[in-house]
Amino acid sequence: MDINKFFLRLFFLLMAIASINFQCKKRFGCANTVYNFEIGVKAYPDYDSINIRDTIWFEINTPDTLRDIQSNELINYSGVENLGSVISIEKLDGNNFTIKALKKFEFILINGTEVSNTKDPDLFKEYLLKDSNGYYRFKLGIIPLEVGTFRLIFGNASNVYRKSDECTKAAFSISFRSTNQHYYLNPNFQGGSFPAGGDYYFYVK
Amino acid sequence: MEPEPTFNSPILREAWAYHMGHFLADQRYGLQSSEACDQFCFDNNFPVSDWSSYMNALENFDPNYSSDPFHWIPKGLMNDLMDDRNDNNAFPVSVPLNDQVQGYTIAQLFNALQSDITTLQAYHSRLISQTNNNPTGVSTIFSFYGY
Repeated sequence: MDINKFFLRLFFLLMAIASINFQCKKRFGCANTVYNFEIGVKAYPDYDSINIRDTIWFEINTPDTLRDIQSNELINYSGVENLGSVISIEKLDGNNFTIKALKKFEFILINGTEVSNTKDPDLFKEYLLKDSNGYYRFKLGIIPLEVGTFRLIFGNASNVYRKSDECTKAAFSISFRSTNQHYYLNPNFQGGSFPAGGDYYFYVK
Repeated sequence: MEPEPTFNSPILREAWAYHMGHFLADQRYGLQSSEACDQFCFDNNFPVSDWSSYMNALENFDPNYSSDPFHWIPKGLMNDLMDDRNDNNAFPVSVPLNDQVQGYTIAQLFNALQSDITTLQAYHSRLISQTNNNPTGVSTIFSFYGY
């Protein structure tokens, strides 16, 4: 009798382990980030000053097969469920960008989907990228309604997963490419080199 | 033997665990540490110079991406209360946090983790009542993390 109970418990234990492993591609648990990718966003026209009601476009157009930073392997990461970015805009106040400025702009979304972000509607807007035909695509136009110096930040995307596989998570670092980011418009800028970032500065006259 | 915190909030437990894991690894290994992967994998000196991979992982945590299923864990909160780096003046800026707070200690953070603390808001109030260190700046940081 005891031996039967022992084997029954052993059987269920093995079934549980097998179940976890089959679901998660032979890894125990789903919390860890497996891949780290970098994608670029381009701003155009990237003039350091524009007029009220001019439009600046921000566009991502990146193949969904990417090189993992850690392994240097090419990974097909298509069919993403939650790849996007939180965009924040702040206006310069004295020497710091501290005025929440999202409401000082109109937005034109051409590619991508806006998702609800209730954290701070005066500061954040969140979008998901469109993933189709082998590319991640995003295109957003912003139209300033007020004079001033502004900073826009594309936030990174973490714990991204695919519709077909929620376990193999990826982190996406989003930074500007082929774009003059006009760091000199930030009063705290003292020159020097630093890694590319997702921040972009411009003056509205 | 060190006393164990008895706080009753999953959010606080996660925040404390992430903070202490990275903080102690930084104390032990410093700039000799290996890559630290959290939301992203960070290396020593990247993106913040002279910071270990562990502290970079805490400092660059972004709680605002609601599509991240784990964005609710305030992983960088306690580090932002301790460090003297203002995220808002960094190059490049990863998170738009105007962090004017510095100088909180592990002991102060731990002492506010008491058995009657069940929310992050309660932890915020207890921390201020016990230390009175820059209440306005602390409110800005808690608010940035959504609490």
